Amino acid sequence: MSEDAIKIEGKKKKSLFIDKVREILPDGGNLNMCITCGACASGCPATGLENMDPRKFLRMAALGLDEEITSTPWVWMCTGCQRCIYVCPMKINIPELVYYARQSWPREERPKGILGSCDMALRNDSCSAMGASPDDFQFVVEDVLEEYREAQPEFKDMEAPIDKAGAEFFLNQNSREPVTEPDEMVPLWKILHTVGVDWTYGSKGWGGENYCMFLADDEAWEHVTRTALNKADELGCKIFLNTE
Amino acid sequence: MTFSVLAGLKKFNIDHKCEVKSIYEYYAKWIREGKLKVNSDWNKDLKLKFTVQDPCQIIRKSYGDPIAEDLRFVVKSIVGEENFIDMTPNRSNNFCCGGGGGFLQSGYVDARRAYGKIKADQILATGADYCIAACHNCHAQIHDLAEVNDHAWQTVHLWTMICLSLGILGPNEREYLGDDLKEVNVFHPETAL
Amino acid sequence: MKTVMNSHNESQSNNKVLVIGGGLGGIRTALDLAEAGRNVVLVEKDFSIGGLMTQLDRTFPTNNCDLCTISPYLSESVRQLPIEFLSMTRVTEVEGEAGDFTVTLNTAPRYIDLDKCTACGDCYNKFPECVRFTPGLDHRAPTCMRYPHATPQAFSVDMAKCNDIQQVVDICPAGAIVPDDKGTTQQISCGAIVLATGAGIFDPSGLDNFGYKNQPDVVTSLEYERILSASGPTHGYLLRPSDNEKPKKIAWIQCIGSRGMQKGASSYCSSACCMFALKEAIVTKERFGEDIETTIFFMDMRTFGKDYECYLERAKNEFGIRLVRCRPHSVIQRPGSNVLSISFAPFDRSELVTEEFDIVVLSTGFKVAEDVKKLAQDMGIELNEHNFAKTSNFQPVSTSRPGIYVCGMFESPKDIPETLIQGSAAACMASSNMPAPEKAPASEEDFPPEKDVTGQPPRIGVFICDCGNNIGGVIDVEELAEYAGNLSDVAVSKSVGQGCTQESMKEIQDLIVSEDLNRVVIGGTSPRTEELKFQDLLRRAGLNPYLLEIANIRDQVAWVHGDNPENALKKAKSLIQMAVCAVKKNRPLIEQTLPMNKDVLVVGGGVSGMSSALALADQGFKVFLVEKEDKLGGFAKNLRKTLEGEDVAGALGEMIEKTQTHENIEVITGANLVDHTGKTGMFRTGIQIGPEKSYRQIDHGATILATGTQPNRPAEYLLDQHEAVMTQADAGIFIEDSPEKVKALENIVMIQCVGSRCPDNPNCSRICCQAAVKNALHILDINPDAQIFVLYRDMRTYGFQEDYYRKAREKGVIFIRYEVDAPPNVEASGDKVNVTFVDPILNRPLMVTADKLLLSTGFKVDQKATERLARIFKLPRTHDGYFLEEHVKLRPIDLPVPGCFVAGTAHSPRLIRESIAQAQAAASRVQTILAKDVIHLSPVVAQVDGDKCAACLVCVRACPFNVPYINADGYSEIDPAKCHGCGICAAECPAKAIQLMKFEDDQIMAKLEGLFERKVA
Repeated sequence: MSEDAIKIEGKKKKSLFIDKVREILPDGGNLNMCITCGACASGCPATGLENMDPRKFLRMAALGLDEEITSTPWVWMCTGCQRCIYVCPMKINIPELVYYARQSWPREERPKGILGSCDMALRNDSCSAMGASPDDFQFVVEDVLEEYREAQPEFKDMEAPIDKAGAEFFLNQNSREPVTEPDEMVPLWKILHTVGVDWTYGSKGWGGENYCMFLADDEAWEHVTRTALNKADELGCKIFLNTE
Repeated sequence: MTFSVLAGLKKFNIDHKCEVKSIYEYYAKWIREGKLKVNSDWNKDLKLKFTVQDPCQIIRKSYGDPIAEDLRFVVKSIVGEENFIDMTPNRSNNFCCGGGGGFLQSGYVDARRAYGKIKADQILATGADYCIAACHNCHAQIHDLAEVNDHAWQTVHLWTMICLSLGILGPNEREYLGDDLKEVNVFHPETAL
Repeated sequence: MKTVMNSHNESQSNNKVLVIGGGLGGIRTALDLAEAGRNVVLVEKDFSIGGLMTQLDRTFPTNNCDLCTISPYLSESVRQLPIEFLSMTRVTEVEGEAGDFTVTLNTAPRYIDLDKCTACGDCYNKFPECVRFTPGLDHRAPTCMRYPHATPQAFSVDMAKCNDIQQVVDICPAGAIVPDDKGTTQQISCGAIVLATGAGIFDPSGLDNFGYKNQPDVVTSLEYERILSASGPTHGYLLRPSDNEKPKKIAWIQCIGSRGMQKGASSYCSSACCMFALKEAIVTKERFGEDIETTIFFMDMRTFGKDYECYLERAKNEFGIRLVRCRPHSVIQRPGSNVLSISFAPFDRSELVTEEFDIVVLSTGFKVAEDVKKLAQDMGIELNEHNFAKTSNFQPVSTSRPGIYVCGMFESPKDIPETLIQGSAAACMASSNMPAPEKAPASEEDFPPEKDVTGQPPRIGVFICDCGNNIGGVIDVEELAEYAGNLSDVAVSKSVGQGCTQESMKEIQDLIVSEDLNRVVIGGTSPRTEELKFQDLLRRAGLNPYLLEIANIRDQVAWVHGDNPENALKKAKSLIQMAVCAVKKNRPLIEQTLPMNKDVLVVGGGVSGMSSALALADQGFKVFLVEKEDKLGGFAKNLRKTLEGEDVAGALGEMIEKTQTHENIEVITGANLVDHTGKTGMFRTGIQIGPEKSYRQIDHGATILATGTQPNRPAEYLLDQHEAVMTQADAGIFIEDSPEKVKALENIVMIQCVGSRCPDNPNCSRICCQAAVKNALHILDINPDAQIFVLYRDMRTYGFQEDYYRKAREKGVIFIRYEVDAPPNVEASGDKVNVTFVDPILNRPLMVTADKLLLSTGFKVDQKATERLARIFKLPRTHDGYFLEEHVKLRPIDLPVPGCFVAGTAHSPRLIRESIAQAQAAASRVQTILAKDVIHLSPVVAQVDGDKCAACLVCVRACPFNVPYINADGYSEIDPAKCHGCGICAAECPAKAIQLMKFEDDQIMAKLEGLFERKVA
């Protein structure tokens, strides 16, 4: 009890952070319903980091300590895993409160690693967190494919098509592989080839990661998702198949 | 990715025709249909123990326990039922590894490893030689946790193990396998770089 | 009671009530109705009656063995009362209307003729798979449980599992197996129906985080009860299911399936779980060792019932039960071990603590079973959002369909005393619109003539009960029986298993006749619960019921010396020897009768008193309603609305009007009670009326005390010193009457438990949490911008009140816990007050500048007034001053003085709904005793030997009931009709001129001689 007393007087503050988030979420994310039972904090691996836990975070929001909850780095340590919601008697969406707390940070002050990855994804239509362009991607895929077709004759007919119209499956690929460890793409191709799957990558939206969501950048998140889905629809693919 | 797509489609009301699915479901389907003739004979004598990480994004946050069952079916098919050890808790109640949500990129390394201690302890409790992580964030985090735990286990992608069990995993596709598996069932060993 | 198997449509009368459900509530309803002279059909879908309670081990707050406490009920129900009992029977259709229902009943085939089955067990032993009788517990199938005293005492056969039906039929020596039993469908007509269908229990299988499905040492509370129970699978030994080892650490997790919004949980509170978890923890420590660590993980500890807060304090302080205010996320079984690990977050810091346990008990809540929901819907009963029967606060046991009533769990989740209260209330309401019973219920028929034992040498039968594990687990009953057999004048000595089962009773009765016994000694349980039953047995066997002695070797031997079996047996032998010596001196005693006065005195003109009066007056009883104030209405005059929004003032006004104009009610206001004498059926009470104190005597047959309690008003937190501070009751009026002022409020703080749950007034006032929620919601209705903080210790919005607690949070009310040793601080600040307190989660102080501070001040007994009443009526009180009922579990309405009943807040703090139910219940209890036309006077009274009496007046002064007087012949006379048989005069009389029948000096001396004889030998 070191800090000064939190003083509450006069008219209720309009537009508290928690109230704004409640307006955005369906059913207000049940954010008002907390009975402080502690089930969330009991099951959260981030409990104790930054002297914070989900119950305390929500409590601070409820008591209007907006400055503190929108500045604690703890919001970047909550992974949004939803283990709290999973058992919360009131099904309170604490991760969404964390999401908007992230969003309340000035964009440029958000963790550089996440910010940089999202910005990379926005650089071109690949939506790759490593900034690889559609052309680069195409080059790497074709190069690796060619190499393996030759070296392993059993797979001489293996394909790794990009923008194949009418393919049944639209696949994405985490940028880590084409950019830093291209050989790791091959096992997936081999599996798809062995089964005989009719699939394709997209020249747009092939990046299998989305740091813009982690950055809590709605606009960018939407852009990344929309780019990939639109491409899949444009190619007439039936299944948008996530590899992770 | 799966969750970001599913949640993004809902959040932003994105109109779309295609259906969003996870490849785990298809791995299981293809094995059941005989299209992927995997087997665990390679591990009969080796008896290497495997556990599997249930990625929050795909299990708890998207498709629930049924896809966790698919994941287990795939893993057991390729490593042998007797060589699979589950973490507790698991499936929809699994612990997050601590790599998600951008934690890996956020720069808080000590906090991330403190967070991941639960996961590391869970894996250590299984005594497994390998942890299969079929999600890049999980893979990177669990790989890192192994580094700070005296390399107590190896962290592998699921596709690597599928191809290994099919006998089609080449020498250059074994980056994440330990020495105990580097030489097992090698496809075109001559192509090694 | 007769059990009917293939009954055909008998002659029906609209004076009949159908009771659906043979659990405790239904049994209470049926007994009350039958004792009041109504015909009852009791149907039960299960194989036997008793419901949930028969599966429990012990019950709070007495921690008595459940089967022991319930068995008098079951046995009472098997006496000659007009109850037709149909087991394995469901209601399929209800037609008609109140007063004239036609009901279709479907009885499933039991394949056993109940009249022939002796429950010998031959079929079960030979073909266990075909015979549905599972005395133990199938860990995962609680529905298979049975209990040793089952009524009907009979097996049932599962024909589908019999390979060779003829073989099964042949095994039965009684020829009771009926392989072609098709079951029956019949129609009955009745005037009213009572739904006593009980509760289902939440199934935690779907909660993977608690691992109930695959971790055997995670059990539900009901399963834990079975593990503790002497009739359970481990025969009363506490063993861990996975490996039969004795556990060292046990955890309870509260609110499983209750107070939740997901995974099938109900949003309401199940009301009873906090108490049963505390009980299980205490019993664990009491019975299985202090060294077992018991931890209860909870959200709010809801011990709101009568004296329950003190039970909680005992649990913590005397038994060392550890309470952790946190809901654990998961129960995790470490791979390869059976250790269960639980992590929790302490309330006051951001940290995870992990501990390991051997057994984890999930305190599963109650819900309405699907079949009950369907039945109610088919019957056209309106249900609430949780599928419980909808009733109003002012008609708490009346469903939406006239003539159909409800009691117990199907009305709302509740504990056993509240269930019994509603059981009696439903009996009262069900008979409210019926013609009066035609004749008083028969009390004695078919009994053989009493054998004259005068001058016969004693032939004593000694029967030793093992009381299940209760006695048999401590001492060797066979050795005791053998010992008794060698005592002089003992003709028969035998151990009879559980003596109070029908089977053993029959055996004893037959032996009395065949062995020509003229005295009986029972070595077994407490005479308090079982004496009537065994007296009844003697009478049936043709003996005067007073030729009986009971040696209480359960309480006085087994229970108190369980840790020392060798000396326990020695003591048991002494007790038996004493009883044998005493019984030789027993004489037949004759009961006298007097005509019954059927008028009723109701003391207290509040909601409870008026409800009792109206219920009785409507059934033709003359009621004297005595109120000390000038006006009727009581505490409810201070209330505007209920939590649910019902108009209290309107309903109260109607009730007062009805009471004042009822032809059978005489309202006497401004009246004070001054004296009271007599006994059931012939009371006389003196009152002083008005300022002139004119004295009047009222003759009545029964009394209901509905004297209420007093709103508390402690001088705390500037109450009555600052205009901003008021009680919740004041606030209720302020909000209703001054909406303009409410609109101007910015910050409001409420403080709970002011003057309750404190040393001065230790118990919970029960009504305050809902009052705070009610007022908060009402304020926000008028002024949605108001900011409200409720400072509480435990939110006790039990039952459906929980929904309103949730609504209050939804609307932004902030609830903050405070510790009892760090209460909020209140300081005046102009016309406002500054309230400072610590938020325990942030561990930081907050200061709210409040326009209004509302204090939940609850109730506190008016000690002077209740003490006076208690003295006049010779009634005991609880330590905090409420009237103490006959049995806190099973007799929540009956006071220890026969003919005297309690209703409303005179019993304990309660809401209007609960008070009315109890008032109706008291009216029902009154009807059971006034149904008879004569009073049976107990022959256990004091008799004066005039020759020895010196008229010294010692007895006159000593008698607490003012009975003895010096008569015209100059010696003390004691009217046997007024004597209570307490024996004080007999003990005090210096001339030994007074003897208390049944406890005469020679009998007591014989006992003592018996005791010392053994010592010499």
